[in-house]
Amino acid sequence: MSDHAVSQAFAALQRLLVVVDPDYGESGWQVAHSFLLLPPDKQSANHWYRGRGSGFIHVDENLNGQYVKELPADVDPASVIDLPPAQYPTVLATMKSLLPKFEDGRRPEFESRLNELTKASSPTHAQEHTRNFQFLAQAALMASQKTLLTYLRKQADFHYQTGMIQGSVTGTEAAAALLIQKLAEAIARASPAADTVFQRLVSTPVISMEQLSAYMVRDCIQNGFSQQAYEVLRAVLSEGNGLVEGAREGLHPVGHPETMLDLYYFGLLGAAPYLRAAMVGYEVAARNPALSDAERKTYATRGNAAEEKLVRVSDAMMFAVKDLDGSQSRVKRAEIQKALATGNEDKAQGLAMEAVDLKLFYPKPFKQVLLEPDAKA
Amino acid sequence: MDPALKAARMEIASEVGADVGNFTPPDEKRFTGVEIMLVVGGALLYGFLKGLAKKVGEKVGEKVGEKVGEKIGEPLSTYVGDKIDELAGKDKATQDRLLEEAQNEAKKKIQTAGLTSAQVKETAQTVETQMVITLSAKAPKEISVRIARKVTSAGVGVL
Repeated sequence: MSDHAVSQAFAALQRLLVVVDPDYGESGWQVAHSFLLLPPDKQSANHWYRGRGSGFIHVDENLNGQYVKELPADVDPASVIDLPPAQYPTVLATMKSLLPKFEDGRRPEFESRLNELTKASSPTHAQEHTRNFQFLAQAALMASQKTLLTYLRKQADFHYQTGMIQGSVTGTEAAAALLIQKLAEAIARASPAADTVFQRLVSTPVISMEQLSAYMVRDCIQNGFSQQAYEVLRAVLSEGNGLVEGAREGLHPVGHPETMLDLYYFGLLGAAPYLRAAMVGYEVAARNPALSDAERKTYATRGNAAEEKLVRVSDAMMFAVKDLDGSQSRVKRAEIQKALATGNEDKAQGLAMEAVDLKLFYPKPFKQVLLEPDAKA
Repeated sequence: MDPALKAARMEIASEVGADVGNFTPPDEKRFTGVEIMLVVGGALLYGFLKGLAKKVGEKVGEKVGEKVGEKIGEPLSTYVGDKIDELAGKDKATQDRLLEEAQNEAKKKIQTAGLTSAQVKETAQTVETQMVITLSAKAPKEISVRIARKVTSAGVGVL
């Protein structure tokens, strides 16, 4: 295994852990391996599965999965499939096993990332991280509102860039830092009365950055900054959607098409905090009692759409890990080529659309790779 | 079904792609598959073709409200939205048939009106603008604009 291949594997696993948070990534990793332990007849269509934590997932005859909170009355609870516990080595353990394969000169960098990721995965991380964030925010606010805004800007930059790359913060925390910073800028511009919201930001006891950002949306709305909050959410969602679309173009440096996939997944990773921020923000905003039913439905839909897209982005991160050796791509391409060879172009087109446009497994240029008989994957 | 119509539907479904969550109820988590995407793509194409036919009809003096199901004074965006919803609720065979009928209706009206391809494109732009209004009731503006643009280019391609 070359050093480049080890770096790719390490980066793919890191993206899986930070795209949302390590718990989410690890849970998806274990579920994916558990699924493979089921007998083949239970891995096929038309089954109900117990969801992660709560709810149920139905996989229909077209292999569309749908999540529901309650099992429909006409479904026999005994027919619901429980995924066996996989007890597969964790993502962190898998990353650790890669360390000896790095060249000596590069190993410390990846060791450091693994250490940071391990800390970010600990049960106490979220609260400690948030407490530190609030403590320094409080100190900044004591100096001035302007100092607070500078602090929040630096924190948003750190969380979204260095923190996620180093593995010291999660995508969820980056989302919260971005949302808090953008709300703070918007309300500070609107009115000096924003101080009430800032006081609550730095002093309200919370268990995570995400909770802090959700409370800030609520506090903005309760303190007369609804318009600013909705405008921030619109901009955040727009940024997330734009980053996904940008990544999907599959751009790469001239002469280096081999970098396309890495850049694509990195681009999707960059969209994830914005989508998460929009999801959380709109969920809170939709609960504003002053909204009309139509507005409430719109905001709830926005939050749901952001969440669905984020699920697809995080699933793409899992796919990227599974496809490190290109095996998944070969299987998909073979399936599509088989459909084409038997004259079933509709099926082939549908499979390519599903992989590229719906599940976001590949950037757009890969559709041709999947569909053309002599294209090289 | 006309292969061009099928291809147009697929093209639109692809454009909607991962943004489909904007067009499904917020209280359900849907991880929509290809079949449902084609329904969405077909419904948007149907809305466009019906909207175009209506607009062309107006150009040649067809009175609004003469046809069954048309409401007098109804904005084109509402009409397009109604047509999208109308097709989305139908089974696949009915959808295919209605799409072909809408394609034929639009073609016939263009022929009757003697529109040039430039005039067709101009009319299509009007329908596109109205479709943006319709879609914006559900999705953010930039997504609505992107999808409506694709619906228009794919829709004009089947005329």
